[in-house]
Amino acid sequence: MQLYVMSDDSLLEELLDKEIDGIILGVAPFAHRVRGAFSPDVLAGLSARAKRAGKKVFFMMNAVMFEDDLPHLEERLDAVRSMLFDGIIFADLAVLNIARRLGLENYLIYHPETYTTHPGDVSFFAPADIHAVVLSRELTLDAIEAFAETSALPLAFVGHGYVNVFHSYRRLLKTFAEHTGDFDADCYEGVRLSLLERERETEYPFVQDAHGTHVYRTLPRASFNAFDRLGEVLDYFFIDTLFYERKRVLDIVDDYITLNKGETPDALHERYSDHDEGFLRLPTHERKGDAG
Amino acid sequence: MKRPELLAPAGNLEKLKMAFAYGADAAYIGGKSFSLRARASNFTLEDIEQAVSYAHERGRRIYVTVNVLPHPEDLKHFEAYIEQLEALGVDALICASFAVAQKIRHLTALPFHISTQQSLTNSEAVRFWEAHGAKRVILARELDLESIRRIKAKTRMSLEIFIHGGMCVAFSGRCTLSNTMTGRDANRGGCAHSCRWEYDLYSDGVRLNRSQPFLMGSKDLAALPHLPTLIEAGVDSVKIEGRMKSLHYIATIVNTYRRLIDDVCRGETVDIEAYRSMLSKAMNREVGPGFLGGDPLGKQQLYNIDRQRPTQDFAALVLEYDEDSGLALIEQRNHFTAGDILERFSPEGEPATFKPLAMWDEEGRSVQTARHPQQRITLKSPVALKPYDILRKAG
Repeated sequence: MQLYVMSDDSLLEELLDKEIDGIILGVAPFAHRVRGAFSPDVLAGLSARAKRAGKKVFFMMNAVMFEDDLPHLEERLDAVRSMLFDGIIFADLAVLNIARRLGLENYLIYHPETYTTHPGDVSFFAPADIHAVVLSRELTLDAIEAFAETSALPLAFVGHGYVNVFHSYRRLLKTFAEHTGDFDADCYEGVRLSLLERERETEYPFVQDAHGTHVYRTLPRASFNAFDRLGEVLDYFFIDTLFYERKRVLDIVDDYITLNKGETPDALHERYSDHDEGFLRLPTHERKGDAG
Repeated sequence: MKRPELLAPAGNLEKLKMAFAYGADAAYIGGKSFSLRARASNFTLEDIEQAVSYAHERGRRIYVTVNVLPHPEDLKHFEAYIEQLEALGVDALICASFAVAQKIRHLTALPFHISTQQSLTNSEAVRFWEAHGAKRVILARELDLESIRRIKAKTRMSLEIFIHGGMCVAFSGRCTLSNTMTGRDANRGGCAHSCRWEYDLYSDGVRLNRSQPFLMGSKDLAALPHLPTLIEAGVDSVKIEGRMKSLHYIATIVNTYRRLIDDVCRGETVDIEAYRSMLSKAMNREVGPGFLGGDPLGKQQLYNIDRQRPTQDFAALVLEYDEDSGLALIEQRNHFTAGDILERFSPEGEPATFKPLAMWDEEGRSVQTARHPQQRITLKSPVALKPYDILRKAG
C-alpha cells in the first residue's frame, strides 16, 4: 500500500525526506478542503521538486464544477498536462469528460466522497480506463474488504485526517451574520470555527470558504488499528493533513511509515487519544430506529 | 411553447390518485426497498402494479425511485426487483448510484433517470450520463436559471428541475451529517435532517451567534415566479418534492403549478401573486426561490422557524356525490362544524364557498360537528361537488 500525504509549499521539503510514496497538491481554484491550492506556475515548480526527490505527485481538483467553471477547468487541465505528475484526484464528472478529451484519463482518480460505496461503483469506471477510485468516507472496514474480490481498478482511501461530512454551496456564515448582525462574517472567512450541536453538546469543525460551507467529524480519523486490513485491499492510503500543525503532520507520517514497514510505533493509543476511526467500525444504517 | 411534464410525489396510492386528479402528468413513487424516503409509506409490488394500471389508463407515467447509494450488502434481491418493475410496466427508474445504474442498464430495457442526489451542476456531467445511457438527468438544486438554460442549450438530454418543496442545504447525495450525528445514513433513506437542528458557533471559545441559535436549514423551494423562464428554457420536466406530504398539500401544490404551466403555455398573462395565494393554503413552511433566484441570501434561510404553523384548513375530502339529492359522502381531515364556511377546491374551475345545509354520521344521526379524524359524514351541500374535491375551512 502506497502512502500519499496532502502537502503544501511549507511542508513539502520535510515530506520529501520521508519514506512516503507521494504527495498530494491542490490545484487552484479547483481544489477545496486542502492544505494549499496553487496556480500552475507554482504547482509546476512544486511537482518538479517532488519528482526530483523521487516522489509521485497527485494533483487535487475536487471542487464541484459549475457551467461557468468549464472553460477555465479545461485551460487548467491543459496547463497541468505539461507538468510532471502521476494522478489527478477529482470529484466532478466534468473533469473526467474534459480530461478524456485531453488524453489524461489514465491519470484520473475518482474521489466523490460518497458515491463509491459499492463494488459496482468501481466496476462502472473500469471501462473508462481511469487510474483509481477513492472509496467513500462512510464505509466500514468490513465494507471496504468487500471491494477486494471484485475491484477492477486500483483503490484508494483517505485513512487519516478530518473527515468532511457536510458541504453546502451556500455561505451559511455570511447569510446568518447578515440576518442577525451578530458578527462580521468576513473576519472568519477560511477560519476554522467550532459548531456546537445544542442537544448533544458535540462540537464539529466548521469552515466557510469560496466553495461554500464545510462541516467535519468531531475527531479526526486514524487508521493505525485497521492498517493491516486496509493494506489487503487498498493500493493507496491517503493522509489528509488539513487542520494539523506542521510538527503533528510529520509525526503522523512517521507513524504510518513505521506501520507500512510492518513495525508498530510506540504508544499509539496514548498519542492518538484525540482521534477515532471514523466510520471504520461504526456502521450507519438505512432507517430511523435501526441505529440501535 | 413546449409544455413540460409536471411530476408529482406520491407516498401511497391515495396520494397518487390525488396527484393525477389535480393535474400531474407523472408521479414518482418509492418501493419498499432501495428508495430514499424510508419513512414514507411506500409501495408494495402489488401497489406499483395498481399504480401503473391507474396511470396508464389515464395516459400518465410512473417513475420508481431506486435512489439509495448502496453499501456492499444492500443490493441483495435488487436484480429480481428491477426485473419485476420492468414486468409491471413502470415508465422509468430514478437512481443515484453508478452500481444501480449499471444494473438497470444491463439487466433491463427500462429507461433510467439520474437523481438529484448526484448533484449534477454542469453540461459535461450531463453529457457523461448521456453517454452512459441515462434518459434524463434531474439537475442539482444549486443551479440558477441561466445555468439551466445554458445546460439545456448544450445537451440533448431530457432535463428535470425541482420547482417546489424541501431542499437539502448541502449538495444532495454528498452529505453524511446525519450519519455522523445519529448513525442514520442519509444516502440510504435514514436522513435525520441534522442540518435543521439548533447550533452555536464558536471562534476560540467565544460564541459568535449572540441573538439566536445558529441555523443552517433552508426555506422550502417555490419556483412560481421563475416557472415561465424555465418553460421558455425548454426544461422537459418540473418536479414537486414531498412523498411524505399530505393529500391536501399534494392537491394544492400540483394544481397550482398545473394551472400556471397551462396558462404560460397558452401565452396568457399570469399573475404570480394569485398563484402564490393558492399555494399558501397548503403550506406550513416558509418558501423562497432557492438558487433559481440567484445566489441565495439570508432571506432564503430558515431563520424564523417559529413562524412555521401546521395547516388546519383541510376540513374534508369528498368521496362520493349525488347530484340529484345534493348529498356528499365526505371523509373528515380536520375538525369543523356545520356552521363553518367551507371552500370547495376542485382540480378544475374556481373555488366556491358554502355552508353545509346539514350533516349526518354513519349511523344517520344528525351532527353539528365533524370531530373525529377520517370520520365519514354525509353532508348536504348547496354547491355541486365531485369525488376528489377538497373542502377547506374558509374562515
